[in-house]
Amino acid sequence: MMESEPTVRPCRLYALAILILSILFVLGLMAGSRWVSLSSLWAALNGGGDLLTKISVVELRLPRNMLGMLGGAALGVAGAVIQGVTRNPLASPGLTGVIASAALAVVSLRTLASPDAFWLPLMALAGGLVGGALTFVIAGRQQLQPERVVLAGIAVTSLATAVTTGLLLVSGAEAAELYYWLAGSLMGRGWVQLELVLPWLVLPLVVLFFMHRPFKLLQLDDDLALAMGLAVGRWRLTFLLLALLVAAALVAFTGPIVFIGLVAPHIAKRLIGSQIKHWLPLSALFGALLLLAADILARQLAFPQELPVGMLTALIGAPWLIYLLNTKQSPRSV
Amino acid sequence: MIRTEQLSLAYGATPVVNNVSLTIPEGGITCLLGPNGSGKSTLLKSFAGLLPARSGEVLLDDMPVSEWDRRRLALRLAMLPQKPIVPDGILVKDLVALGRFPHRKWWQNNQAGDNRIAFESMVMTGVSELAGRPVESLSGGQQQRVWIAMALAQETSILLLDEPTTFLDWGYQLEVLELLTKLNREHGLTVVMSLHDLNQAAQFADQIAIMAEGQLEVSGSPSEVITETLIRRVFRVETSVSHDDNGRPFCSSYAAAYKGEKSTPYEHRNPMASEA
Amino acid sequence: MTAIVTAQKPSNRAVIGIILGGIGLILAIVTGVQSGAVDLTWGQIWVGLTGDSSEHVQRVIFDIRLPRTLIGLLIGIHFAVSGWLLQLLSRNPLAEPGILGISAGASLIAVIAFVIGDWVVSGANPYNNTSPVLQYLPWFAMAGGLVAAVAVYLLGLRNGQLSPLKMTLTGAVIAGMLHALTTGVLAFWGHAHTELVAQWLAGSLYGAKWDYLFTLLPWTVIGLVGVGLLVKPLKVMQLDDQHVHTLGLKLNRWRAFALLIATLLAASAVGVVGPVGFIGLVIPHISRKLAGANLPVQLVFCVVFGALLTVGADVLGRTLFTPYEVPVGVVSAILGVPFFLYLLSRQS
Repeated sequence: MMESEPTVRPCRLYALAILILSILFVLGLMAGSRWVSLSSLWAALNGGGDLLTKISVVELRLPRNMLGMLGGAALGVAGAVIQGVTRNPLASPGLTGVIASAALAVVSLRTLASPDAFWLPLMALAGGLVGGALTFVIAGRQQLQPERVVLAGIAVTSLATAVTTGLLLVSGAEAAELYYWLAGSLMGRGWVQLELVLPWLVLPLVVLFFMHRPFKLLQLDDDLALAMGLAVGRWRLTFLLLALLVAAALVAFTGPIVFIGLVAPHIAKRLIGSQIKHWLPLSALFGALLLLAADILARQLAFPQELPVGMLTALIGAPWLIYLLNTKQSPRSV
Repeated sequence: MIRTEQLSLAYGATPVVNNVSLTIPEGGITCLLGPNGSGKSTLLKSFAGLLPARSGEVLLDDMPVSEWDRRRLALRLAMLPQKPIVPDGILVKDLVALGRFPHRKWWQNNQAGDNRIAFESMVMTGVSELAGRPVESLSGGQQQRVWIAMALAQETSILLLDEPTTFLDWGYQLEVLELLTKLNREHGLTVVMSLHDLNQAAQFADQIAIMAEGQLEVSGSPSEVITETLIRRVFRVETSVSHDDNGRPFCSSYAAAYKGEKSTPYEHRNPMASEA
Repeated sequence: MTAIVTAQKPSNRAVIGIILGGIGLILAIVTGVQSGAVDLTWGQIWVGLTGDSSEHVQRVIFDIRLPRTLIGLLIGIHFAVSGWLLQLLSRNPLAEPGILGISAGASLIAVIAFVIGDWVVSGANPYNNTSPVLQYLPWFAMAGGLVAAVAVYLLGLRNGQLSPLKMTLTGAVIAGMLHALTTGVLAFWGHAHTELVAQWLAGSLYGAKWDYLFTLLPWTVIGLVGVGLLVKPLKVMQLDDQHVHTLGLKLNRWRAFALLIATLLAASAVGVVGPVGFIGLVIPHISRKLAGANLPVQLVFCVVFGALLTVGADVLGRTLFTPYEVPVGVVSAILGVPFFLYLLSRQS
């Protein structure tokens, strides 16, 4: 929708994004309840320094940062993929009901049983699949009008939210913890969680990056893509499944974090215009950047308490979406 | 009587109609013609006071239409949008009865007199047998007659219609236009409508106003307005214009004219030229 | 001949529907009083109602079950009528107080008020179990709901005209944001009262008392009077905007009024029992199905069936898994799902 705008050279964008990302990463290691100076940070990473610094940097902040980066990238890519293959600029994991239903699945599993953490991503995936499928079925398969999809997604989200809230009442002692989790936060996520979620995020992401050619074709009209020999239905399903997979797996560990999957692909698309092959990687970078920045902010804004990062992303993302609805480029002048 | 004086209209910052001065005579049928996007529907909306003038005025009975009270205006003129929304499941009689809304205070229900008038307008438009049917179940032509009945129930002396024939089959188009002519001749209703078809306009209108790119190109009786040169200039179509027994012009098109050229190379090859 | 065009009369089907609904409602109310942790016999209820029985039975009936059932009845009316108005107003069959952000706005402000009030009053002892803010929650909720509704309304304008689709999308986005904020506030500052507020957020009638009823009742009256005034303009407002203007209706004024009434109804109910979804979505649909295009009859249906669904859902919620209670909001959501799916599949 913004193809005609002047575009920036992609390599500069990559360089800039990576630079900012590294700065944020270092900042993320330093920031927290105890500020760590650069020199002691270096020492701690090399195995020296005092024990307290070492623990907070290596055991707490490092995995948390990495999860933030990876998770942001996953959400960004998932958003770009969903937006791309449904050709719907308003679609994202949050707005299609995927995140809320994944959250519902996790809450019900944790309420009704006390499962091993290994099962959480699977359950989240199942929930996200059901929710996403429901949204698209409701919206009607024939015409995937952007607004219809979003309306259906919202309905699915509110349904999932209602049931989640109800379940929380039954969950008794675990309710407070689940509420914490539902607010969406990276707090206290350590190496264990990172290891569990890593394969779920990295494998699909790699696969997605390798599939950039069919992705490009799917941006075209269905008939045109078919005429070029692409099995449109099958590819679209594959893309959607992979996108759901990464989004749902992340939700299982961080709780619902909305709007990043919407905003990151938009910024990327705005900057690169029609150079579709850079869309996925840049969405990943911007997603990582956004979530990392939001997490650092969440740690610092209400010091000494922590804000849930999901709350922050919602505060940033919703005005963005409303702005989007008010620009001329909004789809079919809603 | 509707009169515009150097009227300019705009949607937001986009100017749509420029400096139009036009008089709509009472008791006649006026057709607005012009290519897509020429501003004819916009002009029609401004007559109904739906669009504020950017400059100039729309005068209804010598008073700016913007100064009319909405309800009094609703007693003076009725308008039928291009694609009116049919309320879910509404019956024909209930829809037509909505036309009586401006005649009562907003809390009053329709009374016997209102129902009589609503019924009479259904008789006039030939939909009284459909009174108990849901509007959605009717054909396009029937629906259009129901909408006209609703406008008639409003008992105004002016009726504005935005492309009343666009979504209808050919037969229904003529049916609607003949109905409007009948209402005009028998009840003195002033009809103003935008149309696409030149020949239909020429056949039914007393006055034709042709818009092009937001400007009023020309207005006058059909035989004054419908000429080969004008059609070439405005619609970029080569035509030959003949006249029927009543002296109404009739044009048949046979080629797209070249854009921007003043005289077209095909002109001398006009097969009908010698006959006309 | 003119008999063809007489004032709209309810069809036979509609009359039968209303009568059946009314009977169902009475049955639901009686069941609501009768069943619970202790099931009462008909005889006990009769003796209890006439005030001639043991103190225990009297207490159960008058202090617990009767107010609870009546409040359920009122909030059912509130949500159903509010949803009906919003659907007419936005020409969107999916509109309801929850989706348009009104419930979310009400919830957020109520939760913030709760947390702050708690902090001010019992800052020293966060485990003090009574919060004085609880009784003012309806007011806070209404303020929040109104602010959200006005924001949605203003942001939903396009070139000064209300665009139903844009309004719905804007409402949904704002609802999403407010919901995230509510969860965040609750998770991080809810302290010991998380469970209490969570119960409220799930939309529960548990512990509803007479004072809740008296808080709510004025708003029911105001809302219903407002809707009564709106019925005739609403008939015209179903048409195209331009069409409405040329019929002499001052559209923006009436729309704003309708939105105000819908908000008052929904937000006051949220303030008392928390956000209960799906009643505002489902009941107006059923009403349209049964009543046809006749708006006054639709309204009566909304009132009767809204009350019936809520009272029924509450009875189910507290009897199905005794001694546990499923909040009415959850039951209505679960009852609403299949219906909702059916609705949307039919639309496409």
